[in-house]
Amino acid sequence: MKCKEAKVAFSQHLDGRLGNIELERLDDHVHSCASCEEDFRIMEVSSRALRSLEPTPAPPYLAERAFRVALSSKRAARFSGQFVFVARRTAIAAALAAMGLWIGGGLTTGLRETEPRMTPVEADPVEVAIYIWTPGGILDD
Amino acid sequence: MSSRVLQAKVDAREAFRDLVENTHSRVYRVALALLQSPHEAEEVVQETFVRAWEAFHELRDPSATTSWLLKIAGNLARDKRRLWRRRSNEPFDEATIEPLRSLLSPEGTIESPDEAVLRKQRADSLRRAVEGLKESHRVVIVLREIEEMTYEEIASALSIPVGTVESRLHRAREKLAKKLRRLVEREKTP
Repeated sequence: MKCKEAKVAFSQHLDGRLGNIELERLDDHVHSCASCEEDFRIMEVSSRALRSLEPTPAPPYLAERAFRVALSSKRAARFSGQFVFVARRTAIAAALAAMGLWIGGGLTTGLRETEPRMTPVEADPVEVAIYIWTPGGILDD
Repeated sequence: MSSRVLQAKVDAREAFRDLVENTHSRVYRVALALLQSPHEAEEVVQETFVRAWEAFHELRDPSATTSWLLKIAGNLARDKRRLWRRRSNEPFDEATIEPLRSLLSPEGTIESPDEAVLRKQRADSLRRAVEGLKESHRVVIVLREIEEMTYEEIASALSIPVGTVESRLHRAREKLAKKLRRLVEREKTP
């Protein structure tokens, strides 16, 4: 491994992206090259120092403010309408699909049935009334 | 408006609130690394979430949301920077890498006055060295080392390929090591 290659490999090593074989080659080089060894020592120490620092905290009010600003912005209001439209469209599509399934299910059931179903006969209201009130009819019991 | 539609709207708002709470710090830190101004970084965060809410209903893959937000924030921060450059009379805020300053006063350690002076000198050296890097190198170093972002997240935020992140990091570390080496040698010289 040459110095140039070793420097690329060392950066990968700091991020845990170097395989075992490459790591061994890097190790061999570092032990045989004083210049690289010192560079790597400095790189490693500075990397560790930087990583020991806490990431910058966001201001405590920022999340709530960003949420409110997003929801109240004019463009967001336009989106809100768009959202209702999309939700409504989805609801209508779901209702149509459910209706389709119900109708389809009914048809399938009908085709599956072997026994003849009672066919509804349209009754004449006058005939029904006569039947009910005739002596011996159902109201006489 | 039907109750189902209303409920869907409330659910979307709650999901969006969770998204803001879980990701705003990361979005802020990307903007800060690029702009080095807390005030401008806050503006970028707000605009990022306005855009996120606009497109929220189109989100299909929640696992890609963070990368998507970082990309928006990165683009907005770069736009802002371009605007600053055009208005050349307006200076950048004082260039600071805030996290490095915390090296100056580590919590929970008791140091002798000599140790404290030495630590301060070294921290100053490290801070100067990072600040002295060219911008593209400084940004990847800050995002990777201090913010502990993955290569993929950095690539999204800066709109560059992962391979470029890797090569920039390598060059940035090399430059940083050279600078620190010079500083250490200067310290050693009586």
